[in-house]
This record gives sequence, structure tokens and C-alpha cells, in this order.
Amino acid sequence: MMVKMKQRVWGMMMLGAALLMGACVPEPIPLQVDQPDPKLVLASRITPSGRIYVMASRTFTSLKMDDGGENLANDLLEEVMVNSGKVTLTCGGVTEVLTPVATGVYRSEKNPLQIGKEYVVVVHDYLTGEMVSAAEPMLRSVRFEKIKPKLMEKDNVIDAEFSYSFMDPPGESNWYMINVYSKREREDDDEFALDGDLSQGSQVLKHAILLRDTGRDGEEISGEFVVPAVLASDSLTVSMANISPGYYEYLELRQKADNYLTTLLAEPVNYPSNVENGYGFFTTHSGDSWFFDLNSYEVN
Amino acid sequence: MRVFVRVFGLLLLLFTTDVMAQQRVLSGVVREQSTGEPMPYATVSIAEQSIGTVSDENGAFQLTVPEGEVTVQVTFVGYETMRITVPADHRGPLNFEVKESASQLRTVEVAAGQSRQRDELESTQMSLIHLPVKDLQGIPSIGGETDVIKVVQLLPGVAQGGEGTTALFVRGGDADQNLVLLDDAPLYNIGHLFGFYSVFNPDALESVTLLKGAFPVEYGGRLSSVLDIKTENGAEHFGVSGGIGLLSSRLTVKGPLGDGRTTYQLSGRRTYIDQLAGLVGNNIPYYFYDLNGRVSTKLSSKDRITFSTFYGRDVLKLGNQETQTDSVGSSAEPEQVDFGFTLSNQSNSLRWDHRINNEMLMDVTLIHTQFNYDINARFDDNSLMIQSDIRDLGVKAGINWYPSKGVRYRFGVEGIQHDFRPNVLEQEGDLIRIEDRKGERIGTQEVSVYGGGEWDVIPTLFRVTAGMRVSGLKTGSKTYVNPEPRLGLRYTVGENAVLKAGYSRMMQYMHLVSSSSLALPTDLWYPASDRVEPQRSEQASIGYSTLIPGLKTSFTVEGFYKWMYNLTEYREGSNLLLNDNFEDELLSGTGRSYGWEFLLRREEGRLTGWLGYTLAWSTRQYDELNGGLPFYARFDRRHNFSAVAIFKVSPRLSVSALWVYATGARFTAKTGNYLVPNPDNTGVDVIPIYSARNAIKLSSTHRLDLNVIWKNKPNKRFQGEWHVGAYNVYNRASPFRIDVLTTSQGDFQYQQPGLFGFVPSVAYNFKF
Repeated sequence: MMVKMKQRVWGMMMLGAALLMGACVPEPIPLQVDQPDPKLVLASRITPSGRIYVMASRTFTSLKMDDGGENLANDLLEEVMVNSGKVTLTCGGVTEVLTPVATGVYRSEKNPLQIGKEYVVVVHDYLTGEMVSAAEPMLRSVRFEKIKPKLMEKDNVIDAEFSYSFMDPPGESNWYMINVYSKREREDDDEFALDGDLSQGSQVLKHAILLRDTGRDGEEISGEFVVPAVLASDSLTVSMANISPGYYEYLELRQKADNYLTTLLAEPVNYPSNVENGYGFFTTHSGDSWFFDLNSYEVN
Repeated sequence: MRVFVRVFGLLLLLFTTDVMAQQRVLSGVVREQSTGEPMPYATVSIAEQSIGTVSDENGAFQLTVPEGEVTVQVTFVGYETMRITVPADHRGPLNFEVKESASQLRTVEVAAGQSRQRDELESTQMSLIHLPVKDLQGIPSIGGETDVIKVVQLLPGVAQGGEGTTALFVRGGDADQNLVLLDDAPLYNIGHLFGFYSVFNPDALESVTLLKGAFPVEYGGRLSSVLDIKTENGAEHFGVSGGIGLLSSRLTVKGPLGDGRTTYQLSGRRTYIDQLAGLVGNNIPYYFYDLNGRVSTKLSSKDRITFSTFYGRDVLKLGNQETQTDSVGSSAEPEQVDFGFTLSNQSNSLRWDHRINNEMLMDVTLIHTQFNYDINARFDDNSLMIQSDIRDLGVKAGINWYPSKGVRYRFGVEGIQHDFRPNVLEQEGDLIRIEDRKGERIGTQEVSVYGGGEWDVIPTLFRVTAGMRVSGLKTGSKTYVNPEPRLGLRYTVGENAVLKAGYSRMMQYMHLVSSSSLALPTDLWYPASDRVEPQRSEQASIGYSTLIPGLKTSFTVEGFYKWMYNLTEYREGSNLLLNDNFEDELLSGTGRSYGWEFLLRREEGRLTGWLGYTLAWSTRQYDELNGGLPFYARFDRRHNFSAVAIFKVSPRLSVSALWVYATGARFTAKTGNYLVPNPDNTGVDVIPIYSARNAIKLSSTHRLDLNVIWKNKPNKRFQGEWHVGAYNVYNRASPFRIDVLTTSQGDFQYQQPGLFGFVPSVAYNFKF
């Protein structure tokens, strides 16, 4: 009986293999999904020297890109960048028309950073007649009191361990962004690069920290962070800025989506925006930047 | 608590006034002789008189008889009738052990179905569907093996999740709101193979009972349903049964031990997808297996001990290590990619049934259950390890008291120690930047006491079930205590028709933290805590049930309205798995569901099966999701229809068909994108724009499955049967997500893929 049963099991496996080969994959069913109308998008950057850059573009539907597509087609980039617009920046009653410096990128030539003043950016797209605006105050700058790296080598890998401290302004809630950049040569295949101060070589963001002063109002805030796998020949720039809570929330969500697995596993989110009737985030902040040439530090 | 005791005492006084004078009460238990197991639904009556009753689910009965000598008889179709003459002065228990009648075996299932339908009609319990597993074995299924969970998904009030999964969404609830009990022990994961298979080996099971509302007091701990699954008893004679399917094989042995007072059953099942794929040149390094065991022993005429155990394990081990060669031909560092996981699932229960006296039966059960998973991934120097673990150790004790005819009380207490270790994370390398998390063990203690009863307020016309359960949880520095009142009403509107109504409040002291859009095997159970409140629901239901004797059919329509509180969802944008602080990411919200369910069911005759239809709505509201606006639940399927038919063409040939239709599930789809400069200012990041939450409805799903069963000649010792069938006969996709894909014209289009198309199956079952 056991031999007979073994024969049946083997027969079933052969039959199963044949049937599985004969199984069908069903045709996917097309679906109509209402597409949102395109809207204007604003984004901004402030260089360490205090120049404000604004990028203006349009949203585009999901049907412009394959789900698996990683690289943006150049024609799509051209299509969504706003080149036919006027971008103005108003601060302290003075309005400046920003200078286009690259596809969809505009630069302020005049505005020095004015602490405590509100900056209002307006984008008017001549092609569609659309207009969007965003306003953000320039918060007071907060400077490091102390920041220094210590290079630690283990298994032929050098980590830069930074310790820092700064004084939190009393009587107000503050949100901070600390970024660590290493210098990097610009590559030919860069899709997009801000011109001007960064054109001699872009900065690679090596590390980013978001901090709040909850429970530490008016006190010295100190901490440590590690920038892993640096080279003794690297130069690092550490910048700190006092940012708005809205921008903090925006960055926090972006940070959560900052690796491949989280992209797959994160819950859907529509990022917060301070652009009226549009998308993106217009930010202004005055940073405190420290430059470190790691060559001048001893490796422990 | 004191108030509760007083109120409950008052209720007892109100409803126990129907004990009749000048009569005496006979009580006892009916058991099956070969196994010693209690025998529900047996008719106990006074010979040649119109006095009788039906034994309950514990085999216990109460019979009020006139003073003087009487002859009590027990009948059950398929069993020999047993008679005992009871003297006038008899005051002791009456215990019957009835013997199977070989000549009547064929009619057993018919009468059992009829008796069950009548019993369900006459009970105050509503929202209950009982499924004997033997009746399900003709229903078509993928792979040719009956899956009780897939059958439960066909019932009214139950919405399926994604195609092929074992998730249950009962009356608009969520997948974690179902108390799945295997011989009294709860199971936290009921799926193998990402949920395509349930963990229940059909050969090991006796019956499945689904409760969707008006919950009896003895059940608690989940909001939306109780799925009470019982394994089969051992047997008087040694026997072997099993099945060989396309994807797995099963084997069960059962029989007596020693002098026959002890019986056992052992079942095992293993897949051979890995072996099968190898035959066609593919590598699928995945398998699962599960084992069931049950031993039952009769210690005395009053005591029985039953031990039941289950263990299941899923194993996936993908590995690839190859040496890369650079352009000049020298060997480079090896590129190593490994991925694997194991899921382990086990439950144990040890139950002692004890008859205290003629009127009282006690049961005490020790339970243990554990579920854990372990995921490992490695890519060169980068590695990620994720573990999660939940285990329960508990005790349940209850007393059934039958003080007089038509009156039943149930009292009990439960205590469970829950241990959670929800998320252990360890990683190396730069690819995934997240801090390690040790996964501190979290212990909580859940205790419940309950009491309730069932009475005829107006005999044969109006019957009431009422009770109170008080549950509590000690967690962290907080203790939650919550009353859970229960009520059931039955009003007879005709010989074969009743109206029923029910209300129940349910508490759930744990949450399944899962993706809103992905079906992952890595969902995390997380306890109520200082910050995360326990879930709560209130459900009211009404119903009408009738038997149609001419058609041997029952028809039930039920309406329900359910409010749910303290439901949890992840905050928008939060990470599902690589998360080092759950409580910061969890949001609390409310839910509401309502609808109507229709079930036309035939359990007798050559044609059996059912038609089920559900019309229902289910919404959620969270202040911090979807702009605070209410949104439809992910599996808010407006219409659910199922038709199941099994036709016995001849004693050796049966054909069956199954057709299901369901409104599409809902989805939060990416509808647009925009660009922002990346942090390095060297390029742009693409930021998605999503629709409102669950705003997109996928296409409806429907499919037809067929099955043919051919048995060998009856009266042979070796019984074999072939099952030949097909899943999704017309090969329609059941959408489970939305992709944007390129069409043949080069455009982009939203498309909804399905998992399974037409899948033929062959299985061979045997018994000797």
C-alpha cells in the first residue's frame, strides 16, 4: 500500500507541475482615475552666502511616468518647469523680480537676508495665467557655540564624531535643522543644479538632523552625531538653521521617506505646503555654517 | 462591582420565577459511546408523551417531568435509541451513552442539518453561522484542498481582503477584530504563504462557528467576530485519512489508546511547492507545514480531560552568492544577496470538563498561544533583521447551570498574561539608516468575569438572553476596566419563524498595526498602553429567520449598526516596519458600519449550499487623516454576493460550483507628482500626490470555481475520492492594487493586476 501511495504522490507532483504550467495569469483590468488639474509648485533654497533661489514648476499626473521609471525624461522636465513666468520676492516693502538662471530656477540678486522680516514670493505663469504665492518669516539665526569633529577609525573605516552646543533663544519655540555636507564635483549627468554659489561643486548631504527645543527653552542644547565613512581628505560643512514649524514637519516627513525600503513601506502622505493654491514649500532661514578640513584632524 | 452583583441578582430574581410546582427536573449529559464526547442536539423525551428537549452544545439537558415513574428516551438520527426507566424517587443524574447505528449512517448528516437549523431558530442567539467541516469538503478551492477560512469569507457579513488572503473583515470591522479560537486557544495569525492558505488543516477539524454580533458573555477580547473552531475527536477504531493535493499533502491518524477511554488524533500537512517548482526548473525555496494533535480521556463518569495542540511554521530561504568579475578579468568581492523569513505559530489548550451535579457543568481550560516571525535580509555588507513575538498564557473557567426547564446560566472568569515583543530591529551597513531597536518585552494582564442567562419570559413565545461581562487590562501604569453588557431577544412569529434582536458591547485590548494598503506577513500586534487606548465597539442588530420545511431550507435576514472607537491607523507618511517608536506614529479614530445580510441555506438533500448577499457601508474618521474628513474603510465593499451549490449526482459523483461577486476594495492612489530640488541640489526628487484616503474604488471582483468529486465504490475498507476542479474558470483578475504601466501604444495607463487566473487543480483524498 505504501508503494502505491508513493506512486500516487509522485504522480500528483508531476501532474501538479504540468497543471501549474497550464495556469493562466489574468489580464490586468484598466482603470480610469480622475486626474488632478496641474498646479504650480514652489521650492526654495538659501545658499550659505545668503542668496535665495526659487524653483517654479507644475505638477504632472501619474500617467506621465511609469511606476518603475527611475529617471525623469528630459522632455518631461522641460514640460513641467516654469520658464514662462515672473517670480517676485517681496521683503520689507521692496519687491524684486528674480533672475532666471536655469530651467525653472530663479535667483534673488539684491535681497540681503533680513532677520524678523516676512518674505513673500509670487509666481505668475504667463502661459497659463496661474498665480501662486507663499510667505515665510526669516527667523533669527542661531549659531553654534561649539562644534568640533573627532575622527575615529575602526576596521579601516573612519567615522567623524561631532559634538556641538548652542544656546536656544528664550521665550519662544524653536525648530532646528543641522545639515552636514561634503564637497562633491559636479557631474555631467546631474539633472538639475542650482547655479551661482554652488556651481563650483555641489554639496553632498551626508547627514541631516532635526531638533526641537521642547523642554529646553532658553537652555544650552548640546549633542553628538556621527558622520560615517568619511575620508581623511574630505572637507565637511556643517550648517545649522532656525526653521519654521511647517518646514520642520515637511522635512521630517521627507526624512522618513529617505531610503528604499521606507519608500516601499511608508504610508501614503501628501506633504504639507505653505504655497497658496499650489504645492511645495517656500522656506527662508539664515544658517550658521562651519567648515572642517578633516586633513587637519588627527585620526584616533 | 457591588452594583453589578446587585443588578445581576435582581435579573435572576426576575427571570427565574417559572420553575414549575408538582413536577421534578431530570438532568444529565448525553455522550457518544465510542468517544465519550458530549453530544449536542440529541432529543431527550418522555416516551409516548409530548415532553422533550434537546441537549445543548455540552450534551447537557434539563427535562421537567411529572411526578412518578417515567421512561426517558434519547434519540439522534444515526444512533440507536436509548431508553431508561426512571423511578419516582430518582434524584440523581441521568447520563446516556448512545451508540452509532451502522444502518442509519447515511441519514445522519441530513438529520443533523435539520436539527441544527431548528436549534438555531429556537435559540436567542443571532448572527451565528455553524459550518460542519464535513459539509464543506465539496466546495471548490484553489489547490483542491478545503480551506475553512476561504469558506467563511463566502458568508454574508464577511468581506474578503485582497485576493487569496485569509483576512476577514466582519461587518465593517478590521482584520484584527476577529477572535479566532482553535479548541479555545486564540490564534494571532491564521495564514500560511502570505495568507493564501489558512493554518487550518481540514482533516483535523470538526466544525467552525462564526459569530458576528449579539455575542454571548463568554466571548470577549475582539470587536467584530468570534470564529470558534473545534478539532475532531479521536475514534473508537484506528483509522487513517489524508489527501494529496497539488501544493500540499495531509495525513491524519486517529484511534483509541489503552482500554478505549482515551482517544487521539494526529494530523500533519506540508507543502511541496519547492519540490514542484524544481520539477519545472524553478527555484521556490518556500514551504510550510503544520501539525495538529488532540488527546481526550475520560477520567470518570464526571470528568473528561482534552489536550489539543497546533504548531505551524513557514520557511522562506532565498540566497544568491556570486563572484563578480571586473572588466580586466580579475575576481572582485563577492556579491551576496540573502533573504529569508520564518513564521511560527502555535497554540495549546488543556480542558477539563467536570459535572458538578445534575444541574451544573464546569469547564476549566489552560491556554497557551504564540506567534512570532523572523525576517533576515543581507546585501553584501548590509543586513537587516526584524523580529516580532506575541505569546499568551491564560486560564478560563466557566460553569453552565441548568436550574429548571428552559433556563440556563453561564458564569465564568478568564485571565490571560499577554507578552508582546513587537519589533526587534538590527541592521548593519549604510543602505538602510535606522537605529537598532531591542524590542523591549511588554507584559499586560487581561482579566474578565462574566455572568448571564437565558430564560423564557413567555414560554415558546418570547425568550431573553442577558448578561454582563466586565473586562480589565493592567498595562504600564494604567488599568482599564470596562463593562460589556450583552442582550439577546427572540420573539416567535409563527411555527417556523422568529424575530430576533441583539446588542453587545465589546472591548479589545490590543491592536494589529498594519499597512493601510499592503498585505504583509509582518503585521505587528501591539497592546493597549498608557497612551494607546483599547478598542471598543457597540453593535445593535435585528433579524428575521424562518425555516421553509418544504424546501428543507432556512432563510435569515439581519440588519446591524456598529460603532467602533479607538481604532488605530499609522500617521500619514510613517514607516510601517522600520519604526522605532510606534506610539508616536499611531493615531486614534472612530469607525461606523451598517448594513443588511441575507442568507438562504439548504443543508439537506442532494442539492445543498447557500445564497448569501450583503449590502453594507463602513467608514472611518481620524482627526489627523484625510483632513479630518470621514473616509471609506479599505474593504468597504458595498455589495457582496456568493452562491455555493453542491449537487450529489449519484452516491459516487458530486459536482459543485461557487460564484462570488464583490464590489471593489478601496485604494489611496497616487494621482500626480511634483518636483523639488534634492538635498544635494544636484537633481530633483519626485514627490507623489495622493488622492483622498481610499477615494479610488477598484473594479469589482467576480469569479466562478468548479469542482467534481468521484468516489470509489462504497463498502470498501479503503475509501478514495478524486477532486478535479478549477479556480477562476473565466480567468478574470481580482484587482488588489493599481499600477501605472506602459501600454502597447507607449502611453501610460492605470491597470489593476490580479494574482490568480484560471488555476486547475486535482486532489486525491483517502480514508481507511
